[in-house]
Amino acid sequence: MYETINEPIKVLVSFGQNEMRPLIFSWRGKKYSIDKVNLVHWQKVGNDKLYHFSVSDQTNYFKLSFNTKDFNWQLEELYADG
Amino acid sequence: MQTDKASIIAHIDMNSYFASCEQQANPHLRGKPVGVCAYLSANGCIIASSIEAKQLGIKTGFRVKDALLLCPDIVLIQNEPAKYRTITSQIFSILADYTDEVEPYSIDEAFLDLTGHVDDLERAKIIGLKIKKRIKQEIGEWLKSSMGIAGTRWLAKFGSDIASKDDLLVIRKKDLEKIFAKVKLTDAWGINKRTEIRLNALGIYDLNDLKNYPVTNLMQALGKNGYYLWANVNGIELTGLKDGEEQKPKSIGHSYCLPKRTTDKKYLNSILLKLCEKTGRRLRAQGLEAKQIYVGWGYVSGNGMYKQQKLAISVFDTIGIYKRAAGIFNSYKLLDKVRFLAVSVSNLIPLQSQTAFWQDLLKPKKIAKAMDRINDKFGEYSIMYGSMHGLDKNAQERIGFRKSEQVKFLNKNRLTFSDKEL
Repeated sequence: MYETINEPIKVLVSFGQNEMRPLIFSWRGKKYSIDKVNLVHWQKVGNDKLYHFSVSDQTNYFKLSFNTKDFNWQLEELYADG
Repeated sequence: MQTDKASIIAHIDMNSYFASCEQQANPHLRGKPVGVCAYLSANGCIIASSIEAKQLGIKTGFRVKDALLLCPDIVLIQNEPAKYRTITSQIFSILADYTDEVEPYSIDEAFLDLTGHVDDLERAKIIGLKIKKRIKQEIGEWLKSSMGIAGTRWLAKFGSDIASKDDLLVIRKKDLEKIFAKVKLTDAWGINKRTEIRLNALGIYDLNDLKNYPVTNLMQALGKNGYYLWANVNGIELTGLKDGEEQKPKSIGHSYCLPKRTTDKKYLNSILLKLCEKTGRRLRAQGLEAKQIYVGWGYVSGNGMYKQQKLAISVFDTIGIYKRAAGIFNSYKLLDKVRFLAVSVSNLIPLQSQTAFWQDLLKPKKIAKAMDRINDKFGEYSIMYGSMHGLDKNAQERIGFRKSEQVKFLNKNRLTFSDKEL
């Protein structure tokens, strides 16, 4: 079931050669390890760019977003089986 | 690249595209019936079904309530245009690595002219397989595509249409009759049920009958279209790849299924204004003006009204479009609650710079362009007409399969994102 969240989160990110990858994020006091980045897409909001990371662990799917204007991360939505 | 060599054209068609993008994003949806919807309301329309949903009979165009009747467990998702456009840009960037002639045909289809880049169809097949593999490796393992490779644009598209899902089919001229024997007339691109009936009346029941039919007799019966049909199945190139100029839209418009069904003209006019703004934004972005306008509205009872009007002075700015649209809409008495509204402009011409004696036509154009620049810089609805205030959640962007869908090829030096598992 999908659930819209839209809440700020803290994210540990790795930066490599032309590469950026969220590894762990904390939300409502709990840490979530990201097993896989399944898809990244982006959209322009005026001159700014918003990156959306569709990530998952064994039981959940999360959509995170990173705003290049203010460097804020958000948990946009989650999906859990069942 | 054009050479004297025989043409080699490839056509790629992404399978169940929007639904596959959603299953790529969320692996927990894989293997499940998924419907991507224009709107999630009961009367909302499914614009793409996953392969699993199609197997249950849930096709594109189904209403949400009907899909739920057939399969209560179906996962329904609101479409996300930015997601599909990003993936399409990535796919088209891969295609551009193999030829400089790529024709984006729709958001999930493209033609590639490989003439001069490979010597024969066998080598083209190797390129095709590489492209399919790279899409899975570099963008997402769940993104499947069908590909057709042939000597003409039509045969390449026909090849991808009849290829199995996630497969590649090379169509050689010598094999045409064998391939045509296995498919129906309506499996061919451009032959619909109506054309089939007309062909049947001539004694043409399959593609081989069409291929071997005397072309002059066919032209007598069906005119130019008769020749096009005959040439296509005989492997004669008619069009080649089309460049961007030829793909300019014939009309631009927006429609909206209203969350609040009502006869309240104040509310309906504010929605109409927003649809005119979205239409105007796209019209202006393409540097066009319109000499015809169309307004349509549907009633809860199922009927509706569809009116179009030719314009003496072409429209360009939102207010100009809205004045004409509202003029049509408000001249009719509503017979029932309205459930959807649509606006489109057609008869499109390049942006004119001359003014008229009796009216300053340039001033509104300058204002419209200035407003567009502000919205481009600070985001949509940073500046808007007062009557649109509070409507920013209504008539949100939706995605279509239109041929004029603007797809940007990505910069090769773009920032990338690792999809490797930890």
